[in-house]
Amino acid sequence: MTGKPGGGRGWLAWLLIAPAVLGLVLFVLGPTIAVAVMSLTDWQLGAAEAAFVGLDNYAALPGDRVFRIALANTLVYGAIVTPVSVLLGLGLALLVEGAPAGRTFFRSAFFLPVVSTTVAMAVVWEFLLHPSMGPANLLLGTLGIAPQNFLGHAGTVLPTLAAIGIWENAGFNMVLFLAGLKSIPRELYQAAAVDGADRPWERFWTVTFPLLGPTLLFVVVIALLRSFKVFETVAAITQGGPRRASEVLLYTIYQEGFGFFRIGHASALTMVFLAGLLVLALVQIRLLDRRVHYR
Amino acid sequence: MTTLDIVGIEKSFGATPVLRDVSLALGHGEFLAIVGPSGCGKSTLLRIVAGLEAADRGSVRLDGQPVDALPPKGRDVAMVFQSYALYPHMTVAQNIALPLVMRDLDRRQRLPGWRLVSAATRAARRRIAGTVAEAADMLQLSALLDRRPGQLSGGQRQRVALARALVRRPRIFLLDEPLSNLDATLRTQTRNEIAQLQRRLGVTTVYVTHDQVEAMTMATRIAVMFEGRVHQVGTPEEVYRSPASLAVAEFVGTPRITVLDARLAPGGVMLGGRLWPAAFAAPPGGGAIGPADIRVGVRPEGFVLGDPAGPGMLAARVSHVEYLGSEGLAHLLLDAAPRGAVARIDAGLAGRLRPGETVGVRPDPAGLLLFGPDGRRLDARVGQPSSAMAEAS
Repeated sequence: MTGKPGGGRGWLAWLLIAPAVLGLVLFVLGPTIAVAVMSLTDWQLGAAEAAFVGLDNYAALPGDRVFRIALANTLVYGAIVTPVSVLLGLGLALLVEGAPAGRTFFRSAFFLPVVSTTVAMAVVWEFLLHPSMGPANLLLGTLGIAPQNFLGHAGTVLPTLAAIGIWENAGFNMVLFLAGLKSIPRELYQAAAVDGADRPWERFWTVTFPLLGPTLLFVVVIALLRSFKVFETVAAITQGGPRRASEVLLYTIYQEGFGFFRIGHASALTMVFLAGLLVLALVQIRLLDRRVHYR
Repeated sequence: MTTLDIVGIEKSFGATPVLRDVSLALGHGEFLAIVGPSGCGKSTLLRIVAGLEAADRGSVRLDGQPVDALPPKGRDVAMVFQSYALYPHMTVAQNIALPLVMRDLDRRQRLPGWRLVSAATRAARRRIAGTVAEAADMLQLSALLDRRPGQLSGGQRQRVALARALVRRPRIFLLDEPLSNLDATLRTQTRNEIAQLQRRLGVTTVYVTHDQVEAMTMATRIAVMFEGRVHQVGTPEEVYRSPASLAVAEFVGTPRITVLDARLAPGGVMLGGRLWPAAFAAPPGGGAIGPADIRVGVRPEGFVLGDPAGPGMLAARVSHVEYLGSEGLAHLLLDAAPRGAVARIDAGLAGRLRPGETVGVRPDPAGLLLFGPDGRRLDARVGQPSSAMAEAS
C-alpha cells in the first residue's frame, strides 16, 4: 500500500461505517425525508392515493386555531419548565455536591423521576392531584383552602403539567450540573480563598458559576428541547383538555396523524417542530458555544 | 517585611503521616526553598502555611503571632499554584485585580455597574487599575492585559499568576512548584526572574520544588525534606558541601554523588582495600568503633583520574563519557561503587577517554563524606591512605 493514506481502501472505510450509516438512513434521514414529502400531499392514513398539494399544508398552519393554541401552550410550558428545572437542578447539584454524607443517595433519589416511566408516574400524579381524594387537596383542606381541580381546570392545567415536568427534569439537569461541578479544578477554589473570595456566595460568583458556563448552556438547550417534547403527561392525563388548555405540539401532531388520519397536515406540523429544534441546536453551536468556553 | 515560624507541625491523612514534627524559621525577606522528592509532604506544608489545610499539631506564626485559626484571607499570604489556577473567564487584568477587588471593595461596590453611581467606587477602581498596571509592567504583561488565560502561553500564564500574587504586596509569598509546567529554557529564565523579583520586593518567600537545581540557584536557604521530615536546613553551599544525611547528599547535586561501600576499621576507614586514617569528631556507633559497614560519598569533582598503577589509585572501567564542552563527566565502574561512579574531568581528557578503557581513580580525602549505617553523616576528617597499607593488601 503506497500513496495517500488509505488509498484504495475506501471500501473498507465504508464497510466499517456501514452499520452507523444504515441506522442513520433507516431511522433518521429516511423518515425525515418521508415526512417532508408527505407534508406536501393531502394523504390520509390508509388512503390508496394522495395528491400533491405543494405548500398548502404549511400555508394553512397560521390560520389553524389548534396549531396556534398548541404552539402557544408549548412555548408557555417550555418557558416555565426550562428556567425552573435548570435553576432547581443547579441548586440541587450544589447541595448534593456540598453534602457531607449521603451523596449517592440524594443523587439517585433526585434522578429517580428521570428513569421512571412517565406514563405510570402520570397516573400517580393524577391521583395525588385528584380533586376530592388526592393528598394535595387534603393538605390544602387542612389549611382551610377549598379543593382545587388542578388538572381539570383550564386556568391551572398547564402550570400543573409544568410542575410535573419540572419534577421530571430537575433531577436530569442536576446530574449534568454535578458532572460540570466535578470538572472545576479544586485549585481554583483554593486560589480564590487565598485571593480573598472565600464566602460561599463569593466562591460561587468567582469560580463556580463562570466555570459552569459551558455546562449551563448545554443544560439550558437540552432542557428546552426536552420541555418542547412534552407528550406523555398530556396524553395520559389530560388529552389536551380541558378546552384545549393543555394542547401541545407533539400531542396535536399525534392527534392529527393518528386520531384524524390527516397525515399531510401532521407531517407539516412535524416539519415546523423539527425546524424549531434545529434552530435551537444551531444557536447553541454557532452563537453561544464560543462565548462560554473562554477562548 | 514579615518573619515566618513553622513550629512542630504534624499532619496525617487518615493513618498516613505526611508531616512529622516539622519546624522552620524564616527571617525578614528571606527566600527559603523546600525541596524533596514528590510525596515528601512539602506541598502539604505550604498549604498549611497558606491556611488551605489545617495541621493536626503545631503552629504557624507570622511576626510571632499564631495564625492557625485564621482563614487564608486573614493571613494576607499570596500563593502561586503549580497549575497557576488562573480564572479562565477573566482577562489578565481582571485576574491580577481580583485580590485587590476582594480586599478593597465591599460587597456592594463589587456589583457590576456600581461605579456608575458611586464616585468612591470609581476612585477605588482607578486605584486598583493603577496598581494592576504597575504589577503588569513589572512582569512584562502590559500588552496582554485584555487577553484571557486561554490565549496565553505557559510562560505568560505563569507571569500572570506571579503578578496576581504580588499585586497586593502580601506578607508572605508561597510558591508551589511554579516552574514545573514550563519547558527547560523558559524554566532557567523564569528562575532568575523570580529570584530577582523576590530580592527587589523583599517579601519573605517559601518556594516548594522537587527540583534541587531550582532550590540551589534561587534560595538563600534550603530545607531538604524526606518522608515528612526536614533532614537539613542550610545555605545551598552548606547543604551541598556538608549534607546531614546520605539521602540529602544523594538528592542535592547534579550529577549525583557517588556512593562507595566502606567499613570502619581501627584508626580509620577501609575503602577500596586501603586504610584511610580518619579522625572522628564524635566516635561513631556510640563510642566504640565497631567493624560496621558505612558508606562514603564522593562528589564528581572529588575524584582524581590517573594511571591505574599510580599511588593510591583504584582500578575502574570507563562505561560512558559525557563531553560537555567546558568539562566532561566520566561514568566509571569499580568494585567499591555498586551503583557506579561519576567523576568530573577536564574537557581534554573527556575527548580522549574511550568507553571500556581501564583508568585509575582516587577520591580526594578532603572531599570524602562519611555516612553511618543509619544514613546520618559522620563528622570526620579523613587523611591520605598509607601506600604501605596499599601494598600490604
